[in-house]
Amino acid sequence: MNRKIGSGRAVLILLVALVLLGIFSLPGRAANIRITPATLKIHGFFGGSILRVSGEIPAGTEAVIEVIGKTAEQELMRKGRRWDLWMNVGEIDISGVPGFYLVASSAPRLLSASKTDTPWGYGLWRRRVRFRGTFKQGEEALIFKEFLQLKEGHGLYGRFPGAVEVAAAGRGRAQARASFPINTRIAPGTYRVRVTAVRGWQVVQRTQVPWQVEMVGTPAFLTFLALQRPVLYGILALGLAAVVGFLSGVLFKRK
Amino acid sequence: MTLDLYLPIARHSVDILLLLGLGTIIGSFSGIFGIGGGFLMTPLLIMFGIPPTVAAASDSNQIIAAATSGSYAHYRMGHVDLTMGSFLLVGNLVGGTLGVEIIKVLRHLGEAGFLIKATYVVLLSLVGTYMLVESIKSLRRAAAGVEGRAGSPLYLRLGQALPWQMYFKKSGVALSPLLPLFLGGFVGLLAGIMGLGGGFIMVPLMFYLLGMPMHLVVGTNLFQEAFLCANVTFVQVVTNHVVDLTLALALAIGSGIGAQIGSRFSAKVNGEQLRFLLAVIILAMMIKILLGLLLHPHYILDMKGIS
Repeated sequence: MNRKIGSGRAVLILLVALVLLGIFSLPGRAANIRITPATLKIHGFFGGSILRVSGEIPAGTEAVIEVIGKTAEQELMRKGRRWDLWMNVGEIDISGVPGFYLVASSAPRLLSASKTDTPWGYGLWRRRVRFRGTFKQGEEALIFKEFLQLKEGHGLYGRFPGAVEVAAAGRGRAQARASFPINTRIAPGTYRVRVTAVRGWQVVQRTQVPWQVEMVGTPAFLTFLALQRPVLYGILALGLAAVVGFLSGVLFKRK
Repeated sequence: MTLDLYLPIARHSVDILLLLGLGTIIGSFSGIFGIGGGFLMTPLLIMFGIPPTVAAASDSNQIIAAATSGSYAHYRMGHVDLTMGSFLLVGNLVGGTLGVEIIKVLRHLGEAGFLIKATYVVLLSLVGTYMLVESIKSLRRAAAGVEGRAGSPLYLRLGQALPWQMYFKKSGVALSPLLPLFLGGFVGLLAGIMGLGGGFIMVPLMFYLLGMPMHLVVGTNLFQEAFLCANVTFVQVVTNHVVDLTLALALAIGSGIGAQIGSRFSAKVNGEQLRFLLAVIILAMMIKILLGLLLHPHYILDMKGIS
């Protein structure tokens, strides 16, 4: 009987904990994370954007702010030298890491390249990454380094040590703020914005909210046509090109 | 100050003025030399961050505008041999389809990228060097006041030895239609493998092997290239979804205007000077691709489909 009551209490406590967790994981509530723009809209003249993030952390702590894309397998080609010529020598599939990742910290040391056991930054993904394909045992570190260089080159990964500003907010709280450059190559989808409060190297608070990137207007319409109505898209592509060609011909004839 | 244009299939933004300028310059080459300019445009688009598959497919889309505009301008001047162009086109379509199938097999084997670049280097150096030497010889002959044109009597004899001889009135040549069919097929095959319209190979072959006058070569090649690129574009749209209409349209507006400027310019310069200029452009592109094969790449890894 006592055992039954004990298990009933445990279930009740678990339910209360889940409800509280649900409330506190509502977007923008737990850490008072504010994101501008709340939804990034990719329109016809989209030329990149600046994402501004601010979040509350306990006073006296330092902050790490991350923007994390979806984790999906990424297919890469590896270049190598054969007969003194550079060419693709094989495929490497990378999984366990996001397609998009930006991270900023208040203290530069928090994103130090030599510190690889942190639950944020490139060190986190180095521990989670999985490789499959053309590489030898022991080459993983080199492949991951090249992967980071490629991603950073495309503006899809970025590390900003010391870019988070922390200001006192009263009542034992502080406000952490960072701005991230958003490259035009960002894919539409749901991203996570995560604010971590750190004391020493210990995580004292970690909260996250979702962030949406949407394609709107003409780009959204054309993407729909290209993928869902390819024949119509093809006719439109041929028709428009021919019309532009003829129009420029007629225009020059008149002149 | 830039005015970015978002390209939804390429998933990247590029300055609209850059695209219009690029279209106008390459389009003017179409009007001058009678080539689509894919061998120049595609590498330039890749340089500006467009994924190669999207760059090549969208370029074939925009070539339709330049080729339509250019061939229309040349047609008005009486510089298109429709009969010869039709034979070339039929051969080109057959060869192109075969080339696309070959490249599918090579891609499966994993050697396609290297083979494409190696084919580029070999073809561009052969065509470029031959054109350069021939145009210099012609320019010297012209300077010395000697008449006559460069051309291989062997090919002319071969063309005359084949069955079903017919006279191409516009071009003023008598040869078997098998020759333009075969040449069209050969260029189509190479173009299918390399993912281009193949104008830079077709133009010299039409001049040197078919014996067509240079002013007809330009207009006739543009005529057949418009149809060829329409076919490639439609196949790419339906099967691979890699044609970016926004990109193609921005380039097409520029190239449509450029083609008109180019075709007017081509009427003012002689054939030897045109061939000399084209030879220099072809050789410069060959050197760029060769350096890409020899020099250490910026990234050891690339997203699949990038190279």
